[in-house]
This record gives sequence, C-alpha cells and structure tokens, in this order.
Amino acid sequence: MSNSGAGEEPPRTKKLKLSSLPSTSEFSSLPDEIVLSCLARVPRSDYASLSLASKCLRSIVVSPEIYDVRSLIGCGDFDSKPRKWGEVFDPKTQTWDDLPMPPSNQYNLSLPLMFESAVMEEKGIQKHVEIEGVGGRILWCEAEELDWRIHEGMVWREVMGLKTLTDTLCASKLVNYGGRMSEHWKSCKRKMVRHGLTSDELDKLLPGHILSNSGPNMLLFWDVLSPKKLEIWCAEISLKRRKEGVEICGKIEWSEAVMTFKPPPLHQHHCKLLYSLPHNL
Amino acid sequence: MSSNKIVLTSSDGESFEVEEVVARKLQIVGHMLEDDCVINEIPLQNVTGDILSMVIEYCKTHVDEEESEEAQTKLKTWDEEFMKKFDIKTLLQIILAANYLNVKGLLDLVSQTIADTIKDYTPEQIREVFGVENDYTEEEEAEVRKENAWAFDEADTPKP
Repeated sequence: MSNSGAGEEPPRTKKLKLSSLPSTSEFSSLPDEIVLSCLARVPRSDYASLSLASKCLRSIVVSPEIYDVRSLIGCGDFDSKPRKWGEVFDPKTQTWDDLPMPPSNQYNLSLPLMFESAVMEEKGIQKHVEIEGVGGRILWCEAEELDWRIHEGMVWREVMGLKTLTDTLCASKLVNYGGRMSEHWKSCKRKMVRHGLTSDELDKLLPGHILSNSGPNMLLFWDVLSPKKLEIWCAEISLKRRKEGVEICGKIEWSEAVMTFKPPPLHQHHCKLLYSLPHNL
Repeated sequence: MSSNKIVLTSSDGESFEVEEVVARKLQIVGHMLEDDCVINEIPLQNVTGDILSMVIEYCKTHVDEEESEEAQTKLKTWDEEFMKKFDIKTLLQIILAANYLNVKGLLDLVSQTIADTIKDYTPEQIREVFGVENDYTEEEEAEVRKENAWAFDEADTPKP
C-alpha cells in the first residue's frame, strides 16, 4: 500500500443537500442507496423498461447490489410466500428469476433448506445448476428447465457417488455461518421450533459448507472442528453425465485441509468463507 | 418527561415544536439527544420546511406503533392515504429527507410508493420522472431491446 498522500482527493460525499435540489428532481443526484431502495421494489418484469430508459438505470438493474436489496426486502414476505425462496440470474434475459422450491426433506418443512448454488457450464453450451442441499446432499437440475418448470416444480436429482462426503458435510457448521445467514437463521428458528424440532435437530439442518466453481469442476469447502483446532477443507469434484444424461456422477479429484486454525478462533460463529478464486499454477 | 418539547428548524428557517418522542423518530435527532440531553432546539440544514412538516406528520402518526392487528391495519390505511397526496417529484424530495433524517419506516414507505408508481411506465415515462436522457445510440438501443425482447409484447413496442 502506498502511503504518499500527495495527489489525494478530498473524500467525496454522497449526501445531497436538499436545499440545493433543483425544482425538477434529478435522478442522477439521488444517493445510490435510495435509487436501489426504490428500484428493488419494482417487479422484475418491469426491469426491461428501466433498462431501456438509460445506461445508468440499466447498470443498476443488472447489478448484484439490487439483488442484495431484493433479498433483504424479501425476508419480510418469507412467511406468506414460502414458495419464493430464491432467485437465479439468467444470462440470456439478463434478469433474476424465481427459483422453484427444492424437494422437501425428512422434516417436511416448506422452508428453503438449500443455501449454496452454482451454475456449471457443460461444453460451453448446456448449463445446469448445482445446488447443495440439506443433510449434506448435493442436488442438481437442468438450468434450461428453470424457465418452464417454474409452476410445476423442478426435478432435482442427487449427484451420485458422493456418499462419503455426506456425513462430513453434515458435521460442518462454521464456514457458511457468518453474515446474513445467521440473521436468516434467527428468523427461521421460531417457525421451526413450532414445527416441533429441537435445537439439536436444528443444528443438523444448518449448512456449514460452501460451493463454488473451478472451471468445469465444483469446489466444496467445509470445516472440521476438534477441541484443539479448526480446519477448513476443500474438495474438487468433477461431474460426469451418465445413462444418457439422466444421472450425474461426482468424483472427488482431490480433497485436503487448506487452512488450519490452532487453537480454533474464539468467535467460531463469525467464521465465514467469503470468496474462492481458482488459480492454475 | 413525555411532555418535553423540542424545536426543529428547517433550512429555510421554519420552526416546528414537537414532543421529544416524536422528534426521536428522526434517528438523526435521536443520536443528537443521546450525545447531549440538554438540547431543545435542533437546526436541520438539509430539509425545507414544507418537506419537514410532512416528515413530522408521518412521525406523529407512527409515534406509538402498536402490535395489534387492528392498529397495524389502521396505520397501513393511513400510510396509503398519506402517500396519495404527493406527486412523484415531492415523493423524491420526501425520500431524500427521510434518508437524511434517518426515518426508516418512511424511507421504506416512499420507496414502495415510487416503485408502484413507475412499475408500468414506458422507458420514455421513466426518463421523464427521473430526469435522465436517453443515452443509447440506435444500435445500442436495438441491442438492449433484443436482450429484453421477452418482456415486450408486440403491442408494447413503441412505434418509431
């Protein structure tokens, strides 16, 4: 980091003086957070009109920030619309679409219990979405089907050949526990206890792993906690279609501890793997 | 204690005497009061009197938010009626004030109202509301239109 402050500009402030507002309101003079707050509440079907209005509006509508705001607001209607549990970005239409409900689990809760997803590209043409499910299962579906199956429910199939990972993933608690996840968790908790779950069972449902892409392969991170240390593990998994495409089989290419904390960090619940970036050496 | 009054002064010198509980709904004021509890006059440099009076009206109504369903429904109806009074340009000024004064409920309410207002607008109407220019070249516009073709019915496509 350079510390020469010679050419430093004074910090620009985003806040706007109301008294200096011209008689006609200038959209461009509104602070970003206000624009986001408004546009995030517009139904997605109207994003096309917004995109066409100006370049600046288009850049907001396709930004990841608007998705963040949308999901924050969406938290509120979680109870009333349990079917709308997630969204997926379609590069073709440049829009976010609703993600159909994942299959219900053994507890038969109508709650979203899948937390990680990645879109994998297959030979550059066909794409499918991989979703990591509850109870350490890894599920997948065809991306193309997301459009037309939205009302009847998606067909989610389990990635075969990864049984050895299931228990490990179930035991993992910390990697994905930070940030919004824990807030979301709090809001779910009351409802789940009403469904008769004990806190032990709740822990079993809690995801502690994270999913990411590495070229055509899938990267999976999870943690292993012992009294003396906390290890973050990573596995690269290659995926192959079998039986004319109706089955996808996963093969663990390698797996190892990529990071070790000795002793484990004090605030384990604040550990979160934020980002992974594949490098070819 | 609840009868403690605070005077809020707008950028154009208009003064509003309100109860402390109402003034505290403006989080910016709440923070000032925590720092030094003997203040009883607060100048608000970034808000004009006409807009400040709307914000205060909102805060007075929302001063004791009851949990009961009946009270909530009543508040919701009041919110809807309150928002009907303003055109989009005033709404934009109110939202700026709500942001500056940090009144979360009002910020959310106006955001939703603006979203509802613009949701069926054509690109031309949106430009007018937000005061933005069409900065696309013809080719770029065709490209974005193609990208979003799924959203435009034949009937919606503006005539050249």
